[in-house]
Amino acid sequence: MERDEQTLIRLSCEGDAAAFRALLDLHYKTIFKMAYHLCGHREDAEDITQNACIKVSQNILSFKGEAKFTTWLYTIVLNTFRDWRDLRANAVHKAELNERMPGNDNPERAAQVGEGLRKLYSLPAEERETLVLVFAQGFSHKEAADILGCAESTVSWRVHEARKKLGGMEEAI
Amino acid sequence: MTMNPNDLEKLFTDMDVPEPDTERKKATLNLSVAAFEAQKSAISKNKSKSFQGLSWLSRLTSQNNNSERKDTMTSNKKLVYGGLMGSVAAACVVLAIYPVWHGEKNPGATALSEQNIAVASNEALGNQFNNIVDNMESTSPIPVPADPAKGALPVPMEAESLTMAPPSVTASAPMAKRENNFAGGAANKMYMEAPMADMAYAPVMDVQGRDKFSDVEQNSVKQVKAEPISTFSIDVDTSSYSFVRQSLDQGVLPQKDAVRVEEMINYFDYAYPGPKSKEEPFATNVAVKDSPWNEGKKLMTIGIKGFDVEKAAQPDSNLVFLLDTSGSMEEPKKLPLLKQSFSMLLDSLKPTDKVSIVVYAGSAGTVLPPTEVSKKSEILQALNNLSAGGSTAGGEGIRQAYQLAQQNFNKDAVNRVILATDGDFNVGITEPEELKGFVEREREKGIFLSVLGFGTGNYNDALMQELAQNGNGVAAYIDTLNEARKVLVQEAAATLFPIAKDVKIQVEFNPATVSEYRLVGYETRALKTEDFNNDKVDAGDIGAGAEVTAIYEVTPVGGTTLIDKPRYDDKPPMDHPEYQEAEIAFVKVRYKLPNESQSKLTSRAVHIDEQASSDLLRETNWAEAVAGYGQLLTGGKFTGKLTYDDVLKQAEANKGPDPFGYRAEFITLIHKAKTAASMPAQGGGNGYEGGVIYR
Repeated sequence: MERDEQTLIRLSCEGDAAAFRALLDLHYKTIFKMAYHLCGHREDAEDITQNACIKVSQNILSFKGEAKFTTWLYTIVLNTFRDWRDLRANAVHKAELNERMPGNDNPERAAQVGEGLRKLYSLPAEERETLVLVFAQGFSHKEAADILGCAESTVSWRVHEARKKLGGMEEAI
Repeated sequence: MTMNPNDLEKLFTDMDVPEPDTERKKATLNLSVAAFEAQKSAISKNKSKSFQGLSWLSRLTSQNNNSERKDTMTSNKKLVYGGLMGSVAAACVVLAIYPVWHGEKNPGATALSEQNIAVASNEALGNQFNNIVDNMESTSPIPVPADPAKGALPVPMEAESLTMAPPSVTASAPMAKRENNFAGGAANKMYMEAPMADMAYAPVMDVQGRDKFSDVEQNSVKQVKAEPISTFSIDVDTSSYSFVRQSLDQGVLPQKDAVRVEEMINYFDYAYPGPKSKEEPFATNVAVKDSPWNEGKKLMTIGIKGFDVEKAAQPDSNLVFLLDTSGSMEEPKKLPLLKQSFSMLLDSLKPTDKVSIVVYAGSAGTVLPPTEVSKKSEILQALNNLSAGGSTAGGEGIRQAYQLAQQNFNKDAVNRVILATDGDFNVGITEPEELKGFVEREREKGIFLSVLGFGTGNYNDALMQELAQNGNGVAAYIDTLNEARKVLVQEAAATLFPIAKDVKIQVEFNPATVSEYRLVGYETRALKTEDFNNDKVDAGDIGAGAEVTAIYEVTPVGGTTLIDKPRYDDKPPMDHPEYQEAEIAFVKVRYKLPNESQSKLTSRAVHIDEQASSDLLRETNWAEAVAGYGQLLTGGKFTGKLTYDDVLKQAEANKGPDPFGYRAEFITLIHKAKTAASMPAQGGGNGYEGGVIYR
């Protein structure tokens, strides 16, 4: 599996379209999942995934293998999400963002996980991004730091802060 | 107490991430591979140093460098900006190159793309598009989703860290879900709440009722003996289709007057054979076959295909954007979408082209003096600084816009004002007639006008249409980012660069073989018989690579006619007996080249057993499916027992390669119309049966 992926990456960098397609296919679900965790809404996640895949397409040929592929890939996903978020901030009223949070997709589920999610989505953006990378995507602090473009200690600090805030929430329940 | 890591993981697991949509995934992978190929060809082009000047692709490459750089940044404002350029480029590449690739796991795809790199890269897009589409087998539908106002093209802005609003968990169950499905502006939501309230006071109906459409009487059946000649102007507008889609997306059948069948037909690309050289601006294809609507009748479908100007041969552009910034433009599907649309349009222009921006309503005045497209950041900055608000105080918007166009007038360039509005035409000239006259006079001077419509609620379709017609331009309705891509990027050449103007079609039917005929659509484009040869009479333009389709339903002599046979029938004259037997009609097309004032004529006879290639048959079948659908939406007066299911069958059988997924989207619209039509009519209204109430 791992070796296959390496082959696909190498072939993609050499310009093999079929390999590139297979590579994207391989990561598509994870990209979508990360996008969904970041934005919390299915259709937006589809859009972010599409934009991210296209960015990957345009940059893969210059991917030098200096960074780990997944780190490189998820940096793109994260940046695509940020672009999207900035755009929405510009274009959409807060009220609409509100409606786009998870739970509106599925009200029953929302009731179950509601309070936790509400807290999660009221965290500062960088803390939530960090949590998504570490706890949803399962990256190490080091990898998350590479993707976020910050120091590993910053990741640890953010995780600590976020857990504190979320913990406070648990007590409140 | 802090939350423990396991609980945090569980929190994410409990979010229950849905499965990504498979159709969307397919489309994304296709788009990505196309972008990948484009990138590859751009790089190989750069390496071989074979390109000269700033071609379109080379611009893309430099932008990609920007986006690469951007990947390493966090929240630096300048770099965010770089990211924007990358993304804009992304949108552009995608559309432009998409045709190169089609079909999942199609073994020919890679090879074909390789060939394309060799062939003048992507500059002769339209041509390649047709070739490739012709060569490829369709394997699966690839609907490019038309989600409203999404697909997010980032607009540069202060890179502020935004805290996302918390999820709203109190949403009352079923309603909330429905609202989400209709992901639209406030107006849509108001509509969705309506069923809970008293229907007669459904708020959106008021809003929708303010969208203005001209009353249109459907073209009726004509007796060949009484009226053998049919004359009309071509119509390349597509706004009707987008409006119908918008309405059906809300679950409501469109008002009948909003449906212009010819615009629905002409919304789609058709792989008609095109002309071989520029001297011959278009090719006229004709197919004759049995009518799917009425037994014993035949459909004569005329498909015109414009010559495709290569990117390199694109004329210079001097464009003035005249933008509505009234308060009503604030909705996400209006001004923000407009900004995104224009930043995409910039990508389809040449770096030396000039654009300026004038705003009216809200704020008025020149926002951007004429600026070269190469200074894209300045243009985007100006666009981004726009904000909607304030009253709709007129100002001299339109005069200013034309003045700017005049200042930079270049007789070899496309000089065009592009008006973008949600229906507010307080551009400084309040009287519609005066406004039309003004636009018409400016057209005589060589400055054309295109109109882009945004949003619903206040949409003035009639005036928009007329203005664009008077200004030798296109009226398009933009409701989603995908639509913007279609109109402004993919079809920019067709939208902006006419290859022939004042294109008129005149069809003379042969009374010896045809007893009745009916032109489907083109009601608003009818011309008098004598207007055909009168060069003073204005008509529609055809853009580079564009297709125009017109359908006649004809009843052969001997068939069941709607009009009684005349009692005092005289024998047809037999001056040319050789024509009488074999021909059903004679099609004449009159046009002017863009810089000429004298028209040229092409003509051809149509035979009873007109042979059409299988491609042409498929394409015309598609046009006929759309025509059938449009006629059903307007009441199905002439379509006999035709049902939405029949249309569906015909559409599905003739979808063809559909590389952009527009046809797949149409198929979903058939389902939507079927559902909407089966719902009980919502009240009486003023004779509208489309499920829309007017009070």
